[in-house]
Amino acid sequence: MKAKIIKYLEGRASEKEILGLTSWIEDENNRIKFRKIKRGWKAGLNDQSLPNTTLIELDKFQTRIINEHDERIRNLNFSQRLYKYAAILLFLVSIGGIYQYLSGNFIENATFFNTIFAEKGQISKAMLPDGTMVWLNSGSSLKYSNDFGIRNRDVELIGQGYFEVTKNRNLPFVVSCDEINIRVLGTQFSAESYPNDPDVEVVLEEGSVELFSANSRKAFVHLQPNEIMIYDKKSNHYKIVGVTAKKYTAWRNGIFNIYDQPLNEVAEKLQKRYNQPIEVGDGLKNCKVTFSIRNEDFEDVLKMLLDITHAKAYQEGGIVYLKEK
Amino acid sequence: MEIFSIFRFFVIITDHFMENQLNHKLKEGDARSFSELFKQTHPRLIGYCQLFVKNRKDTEDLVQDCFFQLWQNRAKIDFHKSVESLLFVSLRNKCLNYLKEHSRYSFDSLREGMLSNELQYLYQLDFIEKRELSLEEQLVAALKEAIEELPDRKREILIKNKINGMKQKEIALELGISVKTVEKHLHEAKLELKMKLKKQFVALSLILHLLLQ
Repeated sequence: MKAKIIKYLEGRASEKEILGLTSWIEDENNRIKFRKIKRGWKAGLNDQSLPNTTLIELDKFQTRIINEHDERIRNLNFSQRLYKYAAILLFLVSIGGIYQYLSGNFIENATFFNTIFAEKGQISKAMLPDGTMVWLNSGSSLKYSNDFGIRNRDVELIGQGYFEVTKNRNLPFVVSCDEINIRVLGTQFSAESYPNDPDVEVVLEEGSVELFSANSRKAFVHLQPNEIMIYDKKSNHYKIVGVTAKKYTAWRNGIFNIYDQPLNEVAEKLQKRYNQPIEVGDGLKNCKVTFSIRNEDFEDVLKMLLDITHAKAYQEGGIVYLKEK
Repeated sequence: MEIFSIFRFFVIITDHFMENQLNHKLKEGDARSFSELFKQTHPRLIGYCQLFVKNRKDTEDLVQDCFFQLWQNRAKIDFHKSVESLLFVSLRNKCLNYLKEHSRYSFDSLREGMLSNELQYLYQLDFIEKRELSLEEQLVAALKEAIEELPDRKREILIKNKINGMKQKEIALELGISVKTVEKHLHEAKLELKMKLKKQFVALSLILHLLLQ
């Protein structure tokens, strides 16, 4: 009977088994046994035993929770957004101007490098000469040579960038970040490799990408859409996990999604975004939080964090401390 | 017997305690607890929904909506009520409304009743711990109620035509009115019925709201 109950709980029971269980469970004493088995099943539940549909739908549900948050905030910050778009436009115009100026004035064969920055606390969007769109997250930079788009499409990324790469079969687009090189033909993906982070992360939204190490031209892995590769710089080990890529790339629209992450990791991310050192007390480090923000000031985010964690905050010597109440 | 009742008491208390804890976390908007609840109940809710909704995509969407509504109303979650039963009742009402919208009302079902799917009772006993009317019976009851509420003349004509199987001409003769008038009454009766069932639709979604309060 236990096996049948578990089959029912996991949505795998046949009609005959369901009818059998129905007459068994009509007895009140059996219903108590049923509850006990159900409780045990819940406690030891693992994902493998669940139907695929459930896992896919769970992912949808989580995304929906995050977007619901986002929806509310979007409505609040219309004027702030306007400023942001104005800033991006200005940035695009100036990049275009510099590029024209440079390409007009230099001798063709000399190699020089162009670098795009995103100031701390800012997100920059730029168009590369081949039409590829790049979003750079706070504190990141992207470097490319004047050969870009002619002899190669190589760029060097420090920090986090999102790429919408223009298709070009003859010239692969190669992003190098630390020891990892990413080669693509035309696709959308995000890469993250901050100098102080222990790992490099690559998330693919559409198309396909090849990953190879800096000293080899041979790909060690091909990523599929909605997969993330996490490469540990120290051990040179990597792992690939299925995810909803949009959750990882939402930052480029100024959306900052945190889904069930410990506060100390969240603090590091906020530190980068707002250029504000944060210290989290030991008692709070593993406190998991979920939220989504768009263009809020640091003060607003801090207020919200205090609300959801029941913590207190104080500032000392330019550092914000979060402590248990 | 004594020992068994102590054992039963223990099982119920433990369940109650665990549910209470879960409800606390859900109320606070703890995403991990919502994920756990999702994993624990989703396969069964899909199983129940499939009994009435044959379209796979619609099934998934209806169940998905239940969870999302629970998330949106999490502040109203009562510590002492089972969240599982809340989800179940919410899904059952969604299925009922779905059937109202998607299945043609067969007036035959008023005469003969609808065949109830026997598989649904296990889900009832599991989620709400009691056997209640089948969804099909509830559907027929809702239709009957809506017909009861029609104005006398319209109800009379509708019942004569749709349930007793009288032709429009026969009704016109019996009541001493023109066939055109019978036609008009019938048309209006059906329209009103539709409106009424739609209103019930709203009332049913309110049930969830009330349960949550």
